[in-house]
Amino acid sequence: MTTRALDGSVLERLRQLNREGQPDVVREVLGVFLTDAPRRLAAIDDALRNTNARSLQREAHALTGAAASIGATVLHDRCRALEEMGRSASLDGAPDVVRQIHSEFDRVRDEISGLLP
Amino acid sequence: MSDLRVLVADDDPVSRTVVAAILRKGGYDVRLTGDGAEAWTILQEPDAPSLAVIDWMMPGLDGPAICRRLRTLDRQTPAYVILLTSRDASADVVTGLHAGADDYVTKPPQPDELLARVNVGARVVALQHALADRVKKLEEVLSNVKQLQGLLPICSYCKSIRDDQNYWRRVETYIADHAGVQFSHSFCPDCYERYVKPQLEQLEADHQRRGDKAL
Repeated sequence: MTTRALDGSVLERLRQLNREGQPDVVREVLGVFLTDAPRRLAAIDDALRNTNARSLQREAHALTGAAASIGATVLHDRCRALEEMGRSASLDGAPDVVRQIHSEFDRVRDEISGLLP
Repeated sequence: MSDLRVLVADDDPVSRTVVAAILRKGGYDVRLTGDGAEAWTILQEPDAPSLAVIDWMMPGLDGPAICRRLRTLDRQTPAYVILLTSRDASADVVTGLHAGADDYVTKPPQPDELLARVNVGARVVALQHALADRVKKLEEVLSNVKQLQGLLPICSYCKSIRDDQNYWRRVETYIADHAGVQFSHSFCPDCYERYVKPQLEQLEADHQRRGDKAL
């Protein structure tokens, strides 16, 4: 059984922030995520290519926060692991983790597409 | 006065959007920025929001740096600042509070918790505004009350008071000048009996006499 990429309870909490006559909050937040995350992923790729631990930590941290905001639990955990590698400047396992982050992001994006017709 | 405007500063657009949605749901008017330096500029405006939710980690100026600068502003009602911190950064919290933050919330914020804490901030801000108003009014009143001398030389017989320029002045003139008090002249029952009544009787008698003469 595969777990869902997005935690339904987080999305439900966001849904409860909707106000009458105003844009749907879930749609707005997921939309912002889809716009911002690819930029962060590209920055992570750059940092890894340049073995820039500091920048890797910073970009991974940003994506960690964004993933937590939308309940992308697995993506959040992988980004946290990468952030930690950046912090301790031990990048041996980083290429693997970055690959996992990319494939998990694809899963998140597919799930979001299903939610935002 | 309750100020319902909140500045939200966070470089992560996703988190910023969520925080804004939480605060708007709570009835707050939200101003957004993704940049620490811009947040600092906004907080220095004369009509700046009195509440701010600021991300700890931001390029440029981070949350604690903004807090430290805010505390150097000479304001009677400084902004109430809530820092957004990472869940695992408990040491950060102490640093943040030392820097001058009023409170902190871990990221990603739970809507109920963030709103409750911002509501506390709004109450503190309302209290500060009420106190500042009170102090201003008291200062106005004080500046109107001219200082009365502690020791007044007063004439034992006529009750005149000697002022700083060595002039003897009537007690009511002196007090009116030094305390902004207005006198309305009247007489007490004893003085009425002793002074006023005899004068009235005298007048009555004079009047009577003139009447008799005319006849």
